[in-house]
Amino acid sequence: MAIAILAERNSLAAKYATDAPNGCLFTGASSGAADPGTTGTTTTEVTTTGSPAYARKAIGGNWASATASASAVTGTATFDVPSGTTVYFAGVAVSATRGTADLRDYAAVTAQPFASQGTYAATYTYTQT
Amino acid sequence: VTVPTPAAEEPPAGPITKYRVTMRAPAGFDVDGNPLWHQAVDYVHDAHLAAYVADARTRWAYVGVSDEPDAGPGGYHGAYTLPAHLDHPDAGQYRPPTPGSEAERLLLEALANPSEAEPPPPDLDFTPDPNAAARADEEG
Repeated sequence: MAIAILAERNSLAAKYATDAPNGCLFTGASSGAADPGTTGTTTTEVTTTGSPAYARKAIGGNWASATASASAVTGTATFDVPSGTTVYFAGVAVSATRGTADLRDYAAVTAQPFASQGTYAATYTYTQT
Repeated sequence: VTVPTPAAEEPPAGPITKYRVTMRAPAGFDVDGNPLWHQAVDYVHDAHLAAYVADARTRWAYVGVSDEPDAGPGGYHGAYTLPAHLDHPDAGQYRPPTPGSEAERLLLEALANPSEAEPPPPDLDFTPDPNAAARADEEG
């Protein structure tokens, strides 16, 4: 059932952002490795073997302030990605510490294998209906 | 894994032959109607640029290459892995960091960390997923 009142949609969208303020990236997908799954584990999270090292990042925008408008929260996080890594998924997590098994949600993003140390900026949007 | 102490001097660097490749894919709109993007930035040797860009264009809406050489944050001495699925004789090739460089030391330091016990495997079986972008859009 869709929620009829905008204020309640905004409230729930803000809750989603508050619950998982940090972004993270994952390898593994159609090539046979597992996707992040639904238990909150983070075994395929990008490693810290690059320089600058990969780390979870706080999601910016109104995601950070958890002030939803028009039923949505949106923000971007830019991650450092080591050479030899293929990014398949972006997730949202409770902790800012890589590897902590507190993943709250994830989605497929445009996959990219990195030749060198590079960056991946993921845009997160949650819309409450 | 033995982590070397920081070297007094970096090994000499040669001419930079990498170029910055910027890739963007649409990720919907914000509440004001402005377009949102996912963006990846990588640094690719000039000999591999054509194959790399051709592959990237199968997934990304926009792919741009810098006018000037740019080694990126990994620097001249950083590791380099040409994706194995590319249409290029060097595909799958892994070039480790220059021995004695800070990039090598930082990699060994990370591998010595128990949480990073497994070295990052070069992705040798990458299969581009043409539906990933559409799926990401659907999933928001």
